[in-house]
This record gives sequence, structure tokens and C-alpha cells, in this order.
Amino acid sequence: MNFVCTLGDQLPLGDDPEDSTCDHATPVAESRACPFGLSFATRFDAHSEVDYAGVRYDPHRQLSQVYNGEQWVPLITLDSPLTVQSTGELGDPNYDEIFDKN
Amino acid sequence: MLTSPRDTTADLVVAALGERNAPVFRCDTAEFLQQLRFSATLSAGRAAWSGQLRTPHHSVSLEQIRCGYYRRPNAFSPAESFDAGTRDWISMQARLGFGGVLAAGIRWLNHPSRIGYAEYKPVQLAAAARAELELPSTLITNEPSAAVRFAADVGELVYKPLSTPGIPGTAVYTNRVSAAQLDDPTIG
Repeated sequence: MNFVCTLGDQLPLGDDPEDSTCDHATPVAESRACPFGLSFATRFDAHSEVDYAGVRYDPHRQLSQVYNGEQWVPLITLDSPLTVQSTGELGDPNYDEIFDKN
Repeated sequence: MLTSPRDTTADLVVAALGERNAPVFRCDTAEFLQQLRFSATLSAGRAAWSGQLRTPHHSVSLEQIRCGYYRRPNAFSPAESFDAGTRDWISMQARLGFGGVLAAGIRWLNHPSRIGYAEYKPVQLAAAARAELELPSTLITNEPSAAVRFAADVGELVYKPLSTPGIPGTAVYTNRVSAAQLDDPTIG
């Protein structure tokens, strides 16, 4: 299924949305129109689904936990390494961009 | 703490508050119609709502809450057995009742209404302008002729949406808009 509209499917700006024929669940070839902005929509080339199989929410501790092979432990803790690198290009990264609590 | 069970940022806040021995009550609006129980009363002669929030594992009275932390909770989630119109009605009543009581008497970080207000990109741009940040000329319109005039005034244009598109698997990045696209009769 293709949910992205082509340029030719654009809906004239200012049309009554109640009259819109855009249906995002309709393949492009079958769709008749969609909002101007969605003509720029692109599909992700690749994305990964988060695997929640080994993660659970502990309602007693009110935290997410992950199974480490032996027991359930907090998924993230205050001493977990956070952002450890910067993708910034303007000089040296800021302190908070490289701060590693370990 | 009003947040999703899978929000790891909220997990860190829970942990940090735990280190300070600050009691935490965490819940999600999606639980409101399932496991989260709630009653509130505004009695004659009292200036504030009183009541309690309860999950199967924790509870808190409204009077005990020193600060509410609003962090991307899920939407209310009426049972699938209801039709769409009924689900909408239930969600609206829940939002106005549950949400209204919480909005009325709690100090929030940040207040949900203020978060919602800040989501408006025109508000953000106006705030940036007041802060004397340099901004590109910006047009928001549903009139194609206005877009054409604007392009003639400023030259090269980019388009960006006012929010994320919300269509699974897709994104609308900031895009250059060509003159040909502005001339497209489907726009005009």
C-alpha cells in the first residue's frame, strides 16, 4: 500500500475539508487528492521497530524494566550513559552533549 | 506524574525523585477508563477540589500533590466495544472531568494547557520574534494566490508542516517549493 500522495493528487488549498476526497488509506493510484503539505511526504527507507518483548512496566516501582537474562532490572537508571557523542558541526560539542554520567 | 508507561525520561524522573525520598504517583490517561480510579469533590465552603487517584498499586489524594509532571501521556482509551461516536463522547467527558480537575488545582510542570499553547508554531515564531531572534519571512495561508505573491516577494521558498504528519511510516521534511509547484492548478 502506498500512503503518500503524488503532486497531481494535491487538494486545492482552501477547499472545504468536509468535502475532501483525500483518503490516506487509499493507494496513490486510487487516491484523488490530498492536502498540499502531504505532497511532500516521504516514506522512511528503513526503520526498526522497538522490541518490547524483553521490557515490561513494573506498576509497583513505576518504572520500565528489562530482563537481563537473570532478573528484571530497571531499563534506565540515573547512572546510565546518556548522550555520549555529538553530531553538531559548529565547533566543540557542548558539555551537555557529551556528558556521560559514567 | 501523567505519562506513558514506556516513557524512559519519566523513568529517570521517578528514579531521581526516589533518591530524594519524594513519593511519586505515576499514571497514564490511557488507564483512566481501565485501571485508574478517580473521584473528586468540590464541597460547599471549600476553595479546592478534594479527592483521590488510585491504581491497583498506588494511590494519592489531590491534597497531597505538590506538583504534576505532564510528559506525553497517551490518549484516553475507551473500550473498543463502543462505537466511534460513543468513544469520542467518553473521551471528551474524561478529558473535561478528569483533566479539568487536575488542571484546576495542581501546580504543573508544565501546565498541560501551556504545553498545548506552545505547540502552535505561530506562537513559537511570535515568541522568537519578541526575543529579537532573526526569523525568515513566513507565510501561513490557505490562499494559493497569497503563496504566489509571497514567493514573488521573498524568492526561494521552503515548506514545512505545522506539526508532524501522523501518518505511520512517513515524514514531511522541510522542502524547497519550486515556482512550478506554486503554479500547479491543483494548488491554485
